[in-house]
Amino acid sequence: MSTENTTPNMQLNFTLNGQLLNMRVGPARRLLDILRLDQGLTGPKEGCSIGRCGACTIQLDGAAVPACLLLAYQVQGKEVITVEGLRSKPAFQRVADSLIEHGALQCGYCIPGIATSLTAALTQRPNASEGELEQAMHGNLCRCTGYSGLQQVIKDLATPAPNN
Amino acid sequence: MTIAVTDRTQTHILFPQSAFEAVALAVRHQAPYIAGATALQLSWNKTANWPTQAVALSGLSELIGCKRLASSWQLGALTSLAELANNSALAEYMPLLSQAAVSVGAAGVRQLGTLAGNIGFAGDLMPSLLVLDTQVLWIDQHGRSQQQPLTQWLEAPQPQGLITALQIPVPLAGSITRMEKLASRSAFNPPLLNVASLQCWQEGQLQKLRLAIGGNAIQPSLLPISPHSLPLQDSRRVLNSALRATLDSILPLGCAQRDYLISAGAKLLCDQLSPNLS
Amino acid sequence: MNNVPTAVPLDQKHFAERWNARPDSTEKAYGLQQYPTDELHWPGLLHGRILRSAWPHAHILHIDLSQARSLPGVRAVVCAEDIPGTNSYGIIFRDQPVFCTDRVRFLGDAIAAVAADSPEIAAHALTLIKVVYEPLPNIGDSQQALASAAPRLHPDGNLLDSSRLGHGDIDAGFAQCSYIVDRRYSTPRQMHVFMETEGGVAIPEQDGSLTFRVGCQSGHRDRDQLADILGLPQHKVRVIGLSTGGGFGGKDELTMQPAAGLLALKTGRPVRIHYDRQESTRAGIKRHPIQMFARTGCDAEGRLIAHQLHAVLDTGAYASLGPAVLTNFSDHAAAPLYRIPHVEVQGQLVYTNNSVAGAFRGFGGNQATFAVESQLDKLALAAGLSPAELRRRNLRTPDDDGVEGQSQQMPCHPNTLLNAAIASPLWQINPADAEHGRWLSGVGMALGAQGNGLGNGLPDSGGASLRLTKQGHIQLAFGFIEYGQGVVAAVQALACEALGCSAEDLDIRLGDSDGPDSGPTSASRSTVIATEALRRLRDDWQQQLIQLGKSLLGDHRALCTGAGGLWYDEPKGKRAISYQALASGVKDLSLPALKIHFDFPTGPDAQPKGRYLQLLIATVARVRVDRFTGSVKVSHLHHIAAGGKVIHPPSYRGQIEGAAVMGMGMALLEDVPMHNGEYQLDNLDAYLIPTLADAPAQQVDVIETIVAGDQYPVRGIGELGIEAISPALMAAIQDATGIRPCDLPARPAALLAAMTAAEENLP
Repeated sequence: MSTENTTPNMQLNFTLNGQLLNMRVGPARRLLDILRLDQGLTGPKEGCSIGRCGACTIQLDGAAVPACLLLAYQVQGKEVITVEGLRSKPAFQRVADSLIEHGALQCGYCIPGIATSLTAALTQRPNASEGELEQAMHGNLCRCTGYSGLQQVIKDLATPAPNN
Repeated sequence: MTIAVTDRTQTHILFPQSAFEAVALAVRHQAPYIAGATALQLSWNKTANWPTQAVALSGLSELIGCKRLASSWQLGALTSLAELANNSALAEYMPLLSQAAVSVGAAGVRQLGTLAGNIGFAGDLMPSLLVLDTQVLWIDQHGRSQQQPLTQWLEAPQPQGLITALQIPVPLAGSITRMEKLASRSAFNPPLLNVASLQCWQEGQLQKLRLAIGGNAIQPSLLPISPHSLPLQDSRRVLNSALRATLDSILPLGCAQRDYLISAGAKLLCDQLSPNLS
Repeated sequence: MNNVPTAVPLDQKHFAERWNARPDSTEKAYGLQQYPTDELHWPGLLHGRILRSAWPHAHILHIDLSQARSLPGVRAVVCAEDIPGTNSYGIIFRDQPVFCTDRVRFLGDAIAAVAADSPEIAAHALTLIKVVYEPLPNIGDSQQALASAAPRLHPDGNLLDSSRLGHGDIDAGFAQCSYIVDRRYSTPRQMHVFMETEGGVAIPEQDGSLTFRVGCQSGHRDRDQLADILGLPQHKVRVIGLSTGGGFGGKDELTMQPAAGLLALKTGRPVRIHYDRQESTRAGIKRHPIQMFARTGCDAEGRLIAHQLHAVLDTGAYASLGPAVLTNFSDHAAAPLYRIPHVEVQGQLVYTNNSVAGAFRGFGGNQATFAVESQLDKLALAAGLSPAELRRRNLRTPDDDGVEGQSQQMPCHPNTLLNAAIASPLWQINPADAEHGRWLSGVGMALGAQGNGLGNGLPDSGGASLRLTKQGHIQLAFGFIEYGQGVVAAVQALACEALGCSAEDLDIRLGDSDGPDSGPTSASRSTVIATEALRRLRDDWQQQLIQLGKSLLGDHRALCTGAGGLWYDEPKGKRAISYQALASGVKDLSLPALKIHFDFPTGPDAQPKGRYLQLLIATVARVRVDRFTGSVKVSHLHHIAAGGKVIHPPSYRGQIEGAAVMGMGMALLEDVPMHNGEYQLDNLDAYLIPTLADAPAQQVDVIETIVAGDQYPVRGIGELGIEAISPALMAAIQDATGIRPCDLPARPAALLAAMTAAEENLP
């Protein structure tokens, strides 16, 4: 197989926010760039480019993952959901409304990532405890709030531990 | 004008159908393996030097999953750290590994990171794997299946060798395993020092003892100690001194925060050992 | 009115009436909010990148753009010779080049910029720009900078500014002291880490003008500088400061705007620049690292007699807001909350080849407060008093003049905060915690103050415009920019109260340089300006509307403004005419339109010193320290804040909590270490800010009542929460371990070493 002198590209098929997409794309293109630059979905944000801040969090087959670390080929045949695709879903709305109620946002830049992570955690584990939800959120940085609002949201959405 | 191969737009990804084919491709094209690629792509970005080809392992489903065999666990090399962290059977029977997996990164990157990737980068899991007497199953560059202790793999890593699985003997009854990560922040940061221990007590006697360390800038290794070489019958103070001396002999002289790592490392290991002392 | 000030919990229960979601909540929670760096939809959009210096200090011998220019997909490459106007910028002194010509002074210096069809091509083009440097010796720290043999970084040498303030006779003062403590303190080069880095778009318009849609903190001031740089008249430059993802002072200066503007003019196409985090680390503004030496003394009864503080601030390669930070630092370093007969503060602001230091929440004040409060605790120990008692014996009163004899308006007696802090439930440590397990618990407290406005008699003014639109909206415009701090919520709440309307009637416009200039969105001044603007406009506004209403209705019954329109005074509850009807009813008359512009309140002094309007805070902190690793976990924070009337409770609370955690980061985690002008880290993998796992539980109580005669019941609380947190945390660590860290961030390694040494009784 000769790979010299050809710009690499692949036939990528994946589901994005419920829609089946087919595209020719460089296999190592970042998913974040496919979403923001190619598809015009600016919900996921770029905060660090190295997967340390969580601002680019999307759902990949239901799991919250940083899009800046995903390479195009890694989403072949999978389902990607961004905050744009979550908006209409009750599970997300429950999270978003809780964020509003507890004043858990200020500049809001971290929020698409936070809301996406929290929704994924609750969808995968509807009876998640406070501790489990907290652990799911360690990778989502916020600089404005000091996390107080988010602490209240987690208390609000978690399932209390059963009494001994 | 051709663009020099410096960025990801020029990287061809190869998709082997089997582990053996993966090795053949890696050897033929002198191409690195990529699994989650979380650490690799960042180091390629830093040096602005992406490879011409890379061999993608993510399609090799036979390398994913945790299996309980008769007296050991077999963990597929491409098992994600999230899977390791969330596997309830593993949590029950090999809590050390569960705990170590949870200490890596944060939930999102754990979805992408793999067991093999963590070993490749001498990551957080290493000290725990070392004290558990882990064996590495791998395919060498000639396509031959191999098995060797992780300690040996570390001494002479084979860049084109492909790890397919880790085999971990179930710890004997009466084993106490502990690990702790020393880092600058409570969560989601590289380890300054990981310490792990395995103690096997039978009839009030310490039959087996393994201590291991590793860290961001510290090659993972088992400490050169045995149940007899450490003053376990003496006071904590004496044990602490002995552990300090051991760490002092192991840690490279130029390593950052050396004094701190010795001081904290000794205290952590002492704490892991001493509750079980008479 | 003689209210006894009481601290009330700032929660939904106590502030039910004023508690509502900020107006942009839904957009932000649902991911609908567009940020300046999300504007990817512009037709013909080009991607811009800036080339940064390869050396901390060097001569530039030659720049060759030819290879970069001929790369397919590159639409423009610009450098200094392409600048039509002035090649410099800076809020106080325009000493920072847009593009360097013959010399670079730090690694973030800009050399050139490219615009290309894609980000990849732009990045590749940067690698094709050839620059020949002649490296020069670096100045890696302030000490080196002040040495006589040091290379001069600027024409007037390396000492940019110095401060000297105080009163009395410091040596005579110390001679009278029974107890004297002295100590060195240091604070780090902290980074803002706004989640949205510097960025936005420059758009050339048909008529030859240029529009910037960017994250910034002062659209008008930026507009003025950009016009000078780009050689355009001011009316041909428009800066729209969009709602952006964090500011904290780091977007106060120009960032990517000059490069983007120049590229847009060159190409005739919109150009987007968005710094990645590495570039933001390299080129962005930082907090001043400060080295301090303090000496403080008291008499046998614990009355403070003398206080001396000398400091050196590393301002980096260019001036930015360094001189203003030095001034504010010095004000706070003089221990302004305490009556001390002999005070001497000296500060030096020094150029180095390090990162440019400038505006950062707290603005020098919180670094000084860290040293001052730490000194008082040390002195209390020496004098055999509790930290609270030493403070009680020395707090100034609201009637006292400031350290330099200036008038200051305190919101209440600092004693009120001291008492509230002493009464905090955090002091009751759970007996289980107090046992000598692995974790040592401790509690500590500190006091702090924060002023509003630019202070020191500097030109400081602001304005607003208010008009009824044809559609019947009440359009209220300020130059302020929303970057998370909640100015949009405060303005809405203030407007509803002042104008008697409802939120739905309002059309609030912020951040447009074509609109009214409200001054910079910094120095905790926005809420004060907004309150004052509305106070001055309301009567005129109501009069004009009512007159219009009466003439349209053709009757003379008394009217008042209300929700949705004008209402009859009698009978109550009957609306006379809607705002829409008022607007559409106007035929030959013009719709009501008002403008106002005024000076920020600076008090009665002819030469104001420091900041007139003051706020107070007390922070109590509980921590747990790990005996094995020296790690510090902050479990609880309790703040009592006296910042005047609470306008929007969730925003007030959020700002205190957020500022506290930012201060906690400075105290325990954050630093951008530099060695010989080289960065030792470049991203969030090594620069660690607090995560959810580090977040303490926080309680915020507020004192709203103000002293009688205070004409400014509303203050700006954006920075207040960062004032007392560092010394409170160190006091808590001392309570737990006996060790008092004096160098921030207080790292586990240093704490463990100190704890171990203490255990082993080593000297």
